[in-house]
Amino acid sequence: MTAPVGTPRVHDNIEAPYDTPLWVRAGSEMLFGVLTTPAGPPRQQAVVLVAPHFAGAAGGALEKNYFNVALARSLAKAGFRVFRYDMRGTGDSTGMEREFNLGRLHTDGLFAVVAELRRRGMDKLVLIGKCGGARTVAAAARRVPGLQGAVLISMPLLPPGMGTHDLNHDRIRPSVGMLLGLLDGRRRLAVLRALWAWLRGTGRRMRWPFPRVHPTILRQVGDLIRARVPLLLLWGNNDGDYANFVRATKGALGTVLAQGRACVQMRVLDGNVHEWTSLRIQQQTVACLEKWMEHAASGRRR
Amino acid sequence: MPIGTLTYPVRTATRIDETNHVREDAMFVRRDGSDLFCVLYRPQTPARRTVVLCPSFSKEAGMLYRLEVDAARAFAVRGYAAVRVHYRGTGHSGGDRETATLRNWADDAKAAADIATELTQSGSLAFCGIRAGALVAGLAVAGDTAIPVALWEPVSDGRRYFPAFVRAQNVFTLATQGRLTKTLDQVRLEIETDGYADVLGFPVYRALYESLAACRLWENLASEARSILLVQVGVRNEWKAEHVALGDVLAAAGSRVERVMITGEDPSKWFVIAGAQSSARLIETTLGWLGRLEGAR
Repeated sequence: MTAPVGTPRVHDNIEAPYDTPLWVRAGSEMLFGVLTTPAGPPRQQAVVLVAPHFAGAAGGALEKNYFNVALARSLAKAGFRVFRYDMRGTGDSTGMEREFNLGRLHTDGLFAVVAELRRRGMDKLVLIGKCGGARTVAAAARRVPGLQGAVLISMPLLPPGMGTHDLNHDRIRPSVGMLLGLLDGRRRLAVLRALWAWLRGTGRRMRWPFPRVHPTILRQVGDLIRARVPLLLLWGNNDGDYANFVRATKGALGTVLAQGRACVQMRVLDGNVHEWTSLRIQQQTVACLEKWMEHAASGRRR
Repeated sequence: MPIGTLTYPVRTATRIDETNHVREDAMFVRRDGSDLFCVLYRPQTPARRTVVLCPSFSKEAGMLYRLEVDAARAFAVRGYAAVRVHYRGTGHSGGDRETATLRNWADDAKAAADIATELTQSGSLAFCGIRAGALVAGLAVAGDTAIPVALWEPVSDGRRYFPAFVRAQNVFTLATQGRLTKTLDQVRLEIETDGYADVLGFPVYRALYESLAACRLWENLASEARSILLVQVGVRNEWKAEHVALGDVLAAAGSRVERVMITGEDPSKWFVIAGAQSSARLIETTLGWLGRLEGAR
């Protein structure tokens, strides 16, 4: 399924004979997505690609450099049905989304998509989320029936409710929810650190010195592991949050992941997986996900 | 239903907005053996005119995607049909990107216009080119005097776009990795030797590169007199020499050129930073121009 070594062109032979556009109702909004269906009989598992809720302006159905289109068509060639969609307020979906807030994940949209796919007979699902989409997958996974696997790509470890991403100035700014965290003993230190960093960094891009992974994130990952859902954590060593992840694996997150043993895989690719800024890293990501999907599909059959 | 080598609709998803009753048809149409993705926006009433939106490409297409969607919806709310297209080999469309040229993409835009004309029963068109999409729009309308064109922060000289693209890559890698990726000469050499260059994860193939290098917006638009809206979007309150020259050449060729400057937004961000937001002023300006076109008829 992967392109020959030495030809890092994930976009080769992109053809769309099986793409079908769909509108999915999610509350008062309509989410736009594309279902890619294999030419032959489909395999049992269907895949949902979950993007950040501010995936640039293009939305998750495309993703940066049309990565999700290439991934969907590659997985469809391996026999999987793949649905990619635009989160509320992005791409062709309706609604408005002007900030990136990890305290307000679009799990409602994901549940609407899952319901629509189940209605169409796809009840064995694998969720692949990137960045904020990975957080959405982690938060929603426990309530997705028939979950066959989850992939968390370049998942940010920023605690929920810790401010919003001001897109006009490309920096995080405090929010009311973040300030309320001062009343929460578990979050107080993180909030104080964040406020200090914000004060120092006002007008410039901030760095977030969080020493620990928030209990909510630990619980969500732990839930996936306890449910024995095949889990892949995928990073690029040039990703902005990769160093934080490495640090986190030496603490409580590492302990949680170790409990997963055979269910959990971690892969680190050489490059920037978050931005997919080279064709080589795009190709490596597709190959890695194809391989893992085979593993997840065979594992769940057993 | 075939239009030449075009067959539509192959697969369509329709939604009708509950508040403004605008109908949106997202569709894959079959064209020359591959799928072309386009979205048609139709007002509740008969369309006053159909606007064909020609997007930019590379990173810009992603950054400006939402602006394009918002514009199409706003046009439809005000009584204009609008159609958006993903050029072959880009976005949701199929097709071979390795051999795609600006001319092919202009054909894709014209195919979208044909579909829109057929489905809306409205023969009046206007094209709207966004950044490098202006080059595509220019090629699509060349030789047809009746079609007005709106140019949003246009790239007027294709030769100058590619170096800007490479510079954007270097700025990005310098900011994130502390190093320059490739010089322009290295990237050109890559295209000559390998047939393509990888620029920020977007493959620029020789066919596109060469067609871009040969494309001058003023040459395509100045061949016929038409109504033109030239919008400059920028930080500073001063016209760029590139846009002054473009406007002057088109006016000298007999076109009615309306020039508008919108300040407060930095188009350099359209390459790599997810900061470009819908510009209400840009959309309102274009709606005003479309309204004046109706008055002039």
